Amino acid sequence: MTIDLANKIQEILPEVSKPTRYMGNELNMIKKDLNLVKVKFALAFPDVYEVAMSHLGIKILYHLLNEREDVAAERVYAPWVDMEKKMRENDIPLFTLENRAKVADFDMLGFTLQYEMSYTNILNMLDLAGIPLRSEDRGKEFPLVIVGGPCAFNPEPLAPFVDVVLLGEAEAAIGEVVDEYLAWKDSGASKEELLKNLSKIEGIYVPSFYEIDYNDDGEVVRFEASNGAPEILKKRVIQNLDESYYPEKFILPYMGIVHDRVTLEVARGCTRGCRFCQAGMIYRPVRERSHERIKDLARKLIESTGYEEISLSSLSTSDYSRIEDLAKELLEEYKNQRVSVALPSMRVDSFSVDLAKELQAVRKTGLTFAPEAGTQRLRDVINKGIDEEDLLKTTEAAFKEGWRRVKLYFMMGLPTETLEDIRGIADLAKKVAELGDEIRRNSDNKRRVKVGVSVSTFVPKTHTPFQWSKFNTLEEIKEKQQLLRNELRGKDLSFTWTDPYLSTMEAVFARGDRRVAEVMERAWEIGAKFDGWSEHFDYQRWQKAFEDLGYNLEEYVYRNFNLEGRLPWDHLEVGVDKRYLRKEYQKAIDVELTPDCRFNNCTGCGILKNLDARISLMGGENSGK
Amino acid sequence: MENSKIRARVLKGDEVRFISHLDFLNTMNRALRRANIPIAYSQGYNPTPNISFATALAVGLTSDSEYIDFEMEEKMEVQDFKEGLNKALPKGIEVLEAEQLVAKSKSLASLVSQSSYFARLELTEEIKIDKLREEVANFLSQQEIVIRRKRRRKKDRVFDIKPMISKLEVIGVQENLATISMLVQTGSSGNLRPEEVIDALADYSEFIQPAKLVNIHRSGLYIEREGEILTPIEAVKR
Ligand code: SF4
Repeated sequence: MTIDLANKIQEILPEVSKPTRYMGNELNMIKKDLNLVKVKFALAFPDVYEVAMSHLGIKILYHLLNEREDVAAERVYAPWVDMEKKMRENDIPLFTLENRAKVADFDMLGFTLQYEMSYTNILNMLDLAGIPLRSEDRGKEFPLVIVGGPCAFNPEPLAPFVDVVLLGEAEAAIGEVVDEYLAWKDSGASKEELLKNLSKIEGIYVPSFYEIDYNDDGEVVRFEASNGAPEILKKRVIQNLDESYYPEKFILPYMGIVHDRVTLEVARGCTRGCRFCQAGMIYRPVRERSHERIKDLARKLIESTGYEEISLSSLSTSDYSRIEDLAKELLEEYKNQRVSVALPSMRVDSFSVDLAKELQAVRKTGLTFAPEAGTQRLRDVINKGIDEEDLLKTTEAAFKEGWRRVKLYFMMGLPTETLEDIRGIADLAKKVAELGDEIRRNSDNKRRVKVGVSVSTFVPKTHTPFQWSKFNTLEEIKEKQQLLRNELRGKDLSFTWTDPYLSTMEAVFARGDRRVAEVMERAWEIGAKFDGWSEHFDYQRWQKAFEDLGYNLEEYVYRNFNLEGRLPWDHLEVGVDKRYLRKEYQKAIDVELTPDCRFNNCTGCGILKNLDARISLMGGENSGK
Repeated sequence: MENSKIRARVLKGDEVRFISHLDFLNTMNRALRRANIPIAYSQGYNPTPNISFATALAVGLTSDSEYIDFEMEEKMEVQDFKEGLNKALPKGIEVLEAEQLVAKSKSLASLVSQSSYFARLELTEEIKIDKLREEVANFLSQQEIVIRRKRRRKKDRVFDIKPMISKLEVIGVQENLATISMLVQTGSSGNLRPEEVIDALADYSEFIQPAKLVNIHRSGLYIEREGEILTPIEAVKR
């Protein structure tokens, strides 16, 4: 049976683009005999191989689950459209990479939610697997569908399709979920019984146990929990990052993937408190790994993969305690093996040109900074504590050291923003370019500078101080983009922007409620998939899906959220008090800054109390080690 | 001090036949690091191991004759090299032979001139081996065998491949499948792809189907020296 499927797959591979995506058999892959395990867990990522394989969370879960002898975790990713077509033509259901086994035969199917625009791929993958889309239509013969990841903090648009949502850090709770499943599997009880048992685990949300109604503004007017499920659901966190599980091997892909390197997570969480930033809120509190542990992991991961690069990752890597020491020590250790060390996510104010110089040795690839807004006023509104001087000083130093390419990230559509702020983006970029050109003219390196300005559209996210903010209309976005196109026409400048229609759809999902689920199903029926890929995204299709169900897309996305009302995601807690978010919202309007709690006093977000957690700065000199 | 070199014959098996030449190269580079082979690196911005392939193999083909020269930072026994690297290589890639090389030898790519392949032909109907041999003989006895090669962003190239085919033989027939072997020109002075030969054959004969990459295997790669045909490893030993 399986042999048959494996052969069928082998036969279509020569006829699709990039067959390596579906080949499996990579180094460090774990392939178990599926007849010898008790729980078969399919780990799914709703995008293509290159994207999916780059994701750290899945790597951690894959190896963590496979540590258990009674569990086999296998990977499954979204087949690209040509592959899907061949699969459907040849009656090949969705299969896992390890054993080429039918996903429908697995016990659990977990999707990680990293990006709203991949939701339609989840429906498509369920369909390809021959699994009913809706939880209520799935009996116990089908896999239990579980979702997690950052977007799971507002899983409402997916509510009817999933059985269980895991809030927060999966490695903290997944073991309990599997144990509960095992106990249930042997008992022969109903699926509802399983869901009830699971809903007792902290951090586990069973959407079908809740009835929620909304008014036209999107406020919740009725909220009822049943089956003894809790009214409030709190996320799970790892208490001690240093002791928490981290894989010592990564699967080494044959083909190039998006992040093709050893990714070493040095810390989790960020204390900066930028008001637009969901990651900054949902990953609190800050926890660091110790230098010793990181170095040990680096050794093992380089040994097991042979990768040529180590990337020290976290939300804001330059905030990690004694990052310079760590980076230099790693660099020294791997010099002979020509392994380079990269530090993504550096902030302008804590960025060190000296360090960058050392890391890149001779290679002067571009430097990237994110001032996020064009004027000081607006940067204060969003609590991005960067000033113009920081940026100019840092870029000046970089140009002097020979860098010629600088990329600047901004957002448009932020709360209180005016055209003045947009012009500020252009002014700032021009200043940087002029500075660069002047330094170039006075140096030996005559290569022209290149200042890339990338401006995305701000999408209000749940669980942030801006969760109540209005999303810009299409007209407003277009006007602002046009202004920037006109302004950013210099010789050394380039300007990229995001598709306003795509951002609008992201905004629909980001604060979407359960009504969006129906729309999504409709959109999928009429062909939506790979919506995050511009060649597949079709705004009109989404407009039609909204219309078919009696809604208007634009009315929906521009709806007003009331500061006092109950929000559709209020029952899902990330640990930061709503009171704190409201206060931060008010301070934004009043252009008041909130300091970083790493260096200053506690700002009262409530995370430690709510989650009974601790901040731990292991990388620091006075770490508890 | 002159660096030393090792020349190896490498298998690209069924498990990895879909990986591209670039992926194959990366896979090799990372295996070298895992195996702690004292490989020499290129200078400059982006140091990469100094290894050079004879030719690139098309995606989908298998081969037991991928030849690679490895430039070493320190001299290493070929036996240690072979064992060490094989332990680190994934399934489907294997060093089959290795030989020490004088450092200043010409690049492999400039030396090789012929490749041999085995390929499976799909027939439109069951025919006897003699009949198929006759078809092939007739095919080869044409004045010229002209094919059209598509090129990216350039005009198609139309040319005669007859002089590039040294050998084309039917080895066996089973039901509607036949095995053939061929020896054709390879390398920088002119490169004929096996599937082009099969497609030309399919064009000529109503019994033969166009090529499927799945069924082509490179069985040898050769250097011509003073009228002799040698494998790159034999060429080192002489
Ligand atoms: S520095 Fe600001 S934008 Fe970056 S992760 Fe922290 S809160 Fe988010």
